[in-house]
Amino acid sequence: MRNASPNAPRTIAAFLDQLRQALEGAPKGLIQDALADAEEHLRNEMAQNPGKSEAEILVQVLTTYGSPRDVAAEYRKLDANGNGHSPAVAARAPRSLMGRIFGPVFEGRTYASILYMLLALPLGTFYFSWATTGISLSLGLMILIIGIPVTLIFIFSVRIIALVEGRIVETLLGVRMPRRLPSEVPQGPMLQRIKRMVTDRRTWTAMFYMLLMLPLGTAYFVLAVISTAFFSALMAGPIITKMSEGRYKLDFGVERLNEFVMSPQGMATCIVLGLIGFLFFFHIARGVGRAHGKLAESLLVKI
Amino acid sequence: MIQRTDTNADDAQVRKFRKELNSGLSALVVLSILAKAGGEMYGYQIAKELSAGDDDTLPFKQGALYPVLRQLHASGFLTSRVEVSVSGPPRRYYTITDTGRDTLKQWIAAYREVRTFVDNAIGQDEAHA
Repeated sequence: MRNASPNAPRTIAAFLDQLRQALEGAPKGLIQDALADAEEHLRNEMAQNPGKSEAEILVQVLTTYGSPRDVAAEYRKLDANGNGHSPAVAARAPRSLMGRIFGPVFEGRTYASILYMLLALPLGTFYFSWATTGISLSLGLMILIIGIPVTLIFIFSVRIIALVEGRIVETLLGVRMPRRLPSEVPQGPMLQRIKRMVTDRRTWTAMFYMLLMLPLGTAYFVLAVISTAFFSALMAGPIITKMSEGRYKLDFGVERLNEFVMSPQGMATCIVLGLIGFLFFFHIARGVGRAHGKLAESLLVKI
Repeated sequence: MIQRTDTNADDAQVRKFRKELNSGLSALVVLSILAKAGGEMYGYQIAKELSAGDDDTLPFKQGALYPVLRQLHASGFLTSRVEVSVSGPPRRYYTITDTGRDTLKQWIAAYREVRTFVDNAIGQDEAHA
């Protein structure tokens, strides 16, 4: 049997480590789900059998719960089925050429991504201001005793914001942003909790993410607004000009182009070009959503 | 429940077959347990409920239960909430949704259909093998 192998885990931590290794390369959200489930089960097993040692429990667990490799296989199967994740991830199945081209038009995820692109400017502005203010305030007050609590409160706020931003990204971009592991829930004396918070790499990457969100957010917002405005105008412009009976006039600066646009063929061309433009923008929005989701995952989530 | 009998060496095939059988049935069983419970249950509790105190009667590893719960949750058949306590172990509680109950009814119907069909095919007494 497998549990006779020499490196069979003897502690919960070792079991979780082996499970983490066995799931290497799987989506982070999946790994964190698996670790949270395993930790929950093992700690409940411990609580139910107060008389047994951790090592005894683990020997038993390998046959009842399964070895880290067995468990990893179950979660990988889940991932391969495209289940167990948010619907957006599940929807990413191989599709026909037509489906790939026109799919984004019919998927809510596209519009959610566009919404995120628009939200990114106010969010980014807030994150950036908060981070720069917090950093300068912390550094500036460092020489005084009050600098220490200010710095700690600021760092704590960064972690809260990272958690909230994670929820926004998960909702709108469909990237699984795992909750923290049960073992990460603050425990122990205050001083230890503070130390863990400050030494956690994720605190600092989250701060970096907050700074990065200003330029990124501006770019996303501009891209979304300009695309929507430009392609809408392209489609509606000639029609509005016609209906206004000369009160509004389209002027491309080239007389022949102006005439062509007002002809029926010209109007049709504008509408088709506008639709193609929108389709193009939808694909860009999905791309931005995916890329930003990856970025957020790498900077806000720790495994 | 199916009894575990994998004591001898040539049961790799049996294990494989059992695994394939379980892949759909585990979801049915878990959903039924939650429907019968009427309230919320956490993973460990469901595992114990399924094995009725004797872990060896479970035809699949308890570790396979949790991904099934996640899957049912992602499909909207269950809702969940996490309870973290400082003293005790963390627990993710699951509750069946109305969609879950409707789906369960359909699954049970489908399962009964398949079971009748299979029983007819292999013969009711299954002793002729």
